[in-house]
Amino acid sequence: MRKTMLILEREIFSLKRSKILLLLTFIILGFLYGLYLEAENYKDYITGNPDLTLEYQTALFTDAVWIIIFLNIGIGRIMLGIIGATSLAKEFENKTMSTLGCLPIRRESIFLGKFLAIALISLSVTLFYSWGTWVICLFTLGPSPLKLVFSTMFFIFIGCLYFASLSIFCSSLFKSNASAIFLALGLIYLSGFFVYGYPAEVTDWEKWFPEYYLGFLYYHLFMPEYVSASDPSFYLSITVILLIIFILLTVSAVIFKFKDI
Amino acid sequence: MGEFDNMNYVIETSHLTKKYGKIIAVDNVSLRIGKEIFGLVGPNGAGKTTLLSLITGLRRATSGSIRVFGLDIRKDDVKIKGHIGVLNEKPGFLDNLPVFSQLLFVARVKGLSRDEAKREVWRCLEKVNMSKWADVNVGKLSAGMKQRVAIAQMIIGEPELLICDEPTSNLDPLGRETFFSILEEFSERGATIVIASHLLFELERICTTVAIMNEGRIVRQVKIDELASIIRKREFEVLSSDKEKMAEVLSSFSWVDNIKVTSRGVKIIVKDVKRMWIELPKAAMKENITITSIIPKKDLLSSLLESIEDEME
Repeated sequence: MRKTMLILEREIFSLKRSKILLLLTFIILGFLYGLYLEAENYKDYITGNPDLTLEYQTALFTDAVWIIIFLNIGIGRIMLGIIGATSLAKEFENKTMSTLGCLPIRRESIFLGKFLAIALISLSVTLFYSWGTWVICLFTLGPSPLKLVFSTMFFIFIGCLYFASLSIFCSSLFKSNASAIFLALGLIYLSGFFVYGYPAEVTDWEKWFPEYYLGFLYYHLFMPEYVSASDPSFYLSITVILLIIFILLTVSAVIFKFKDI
Repeated sequence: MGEFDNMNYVIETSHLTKKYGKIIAVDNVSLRIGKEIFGLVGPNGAGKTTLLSLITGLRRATSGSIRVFGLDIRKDDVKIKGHIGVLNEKPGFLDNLPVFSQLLFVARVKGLSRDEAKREVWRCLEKVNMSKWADVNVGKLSAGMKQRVAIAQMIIGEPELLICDEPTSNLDPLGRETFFSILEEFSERGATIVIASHLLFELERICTTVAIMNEGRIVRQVKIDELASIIRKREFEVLSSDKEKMAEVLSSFSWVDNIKVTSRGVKIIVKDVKRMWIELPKAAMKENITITSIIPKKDLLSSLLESIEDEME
């Protein structure tokens, strides 16, 4: 476990030095600023209609959630896709795998350390964006329902993990960053249609698409008025997504373990 | 020097083969390397790098077995790798990280605590005269400097087995001297060193045993002092104050096989190099001819491989 942590530390340090994390932070701050302007608009509207305050607070936050999901599907997902897609491939491209391969460390530990680094970044993105939105709402319109914050966090985190696993899988297939990024972004772009297009008739989608379940999960979390709270498909969606993440990671780990340098 | 002091052979390979599709990169190689400085020499594509990467566990053999420190590289790779230092042909670094942090990571993976690792990294950087570059990103260093960093990385944790693949490429003469003095120091302490190179004269300088590799096979394994006796013919060009007279002198020697006067000197094929170094200067002095230079027309490795081929025929 100590060596896994060393890999995690190295990965985070390397990302920090490559400034990709800084870029990700600025993008999130930019979106939060856009959200703040939006909140100010609502505030002006609400000030003129005092009776609607509570309803519009919720409406504002739901809108904010939309933007968060948009970010998750758009820029944030692309950034995570790049980070994930380069995580393993860069070691082969830079020939650092031959250095790591001669050290007393198992490939499983290298893989786990790299995945944990991306999971940590996903968690940071989730926390930063969800609570940033909540704080903006608090200072413009007053406190918003915490349930919505947690739903948002849950969805973003599970979404981030799914896209991170997908990009790590692409990374395990190639020895070149460019190929891994190209495939990862291609798959992520295709995925976007299914997740973002959730309001379409969800049940009509092909069920073999993993994104069907992600879209369905979104539907349950943010459009509860259209589905029953006790609908078993909610739990089915979570199970399927976690299973897909597990399968993607296991396959990637096996490919990485037996890959010749 | 450490845990494996009582071993007869540090590396043992048996019928080792590595195939890439139809290409056989390493062909049925059986080697035994004791506590010595062992050289692996051969032309490009001979299979040296593949053989070393099989020994270090970077690649998996198609067939055959490898034991390092008496342990199977497939089963006990983590334990073995804790005791070896490797210098790869193309050392890889993360370009956006400073020298110090890359080496610190290696030291910590080798089991040192943070403080011990820091001290060890400084010591190794000083050995290769790179301590003032510790905070510079590796991507900003020249190829020669990266090679020095790679040497520092190899010696972290005082490994008992050093494996170096084309170690002096990119190094300037001063860097080479530093490198060879580090190897000598390790050898004195009882470490085993394996060096692969296509520069035979470099291996001649430091190795105790040399294995000659060609087309994936070990064609000959000899003690370094036996090397000269294998080379049957070698081509030289003798530059002197009077080339016509020099040609006459050379024609009187039985160890000279072929004489050709060129625009700048005399080209000869020598059957006994040792005798040439002893007898030629004496004869030149007697005839009052000044030898300005004796230039080998083919490198030592080509001559060696030709001699082995002749011998096999």
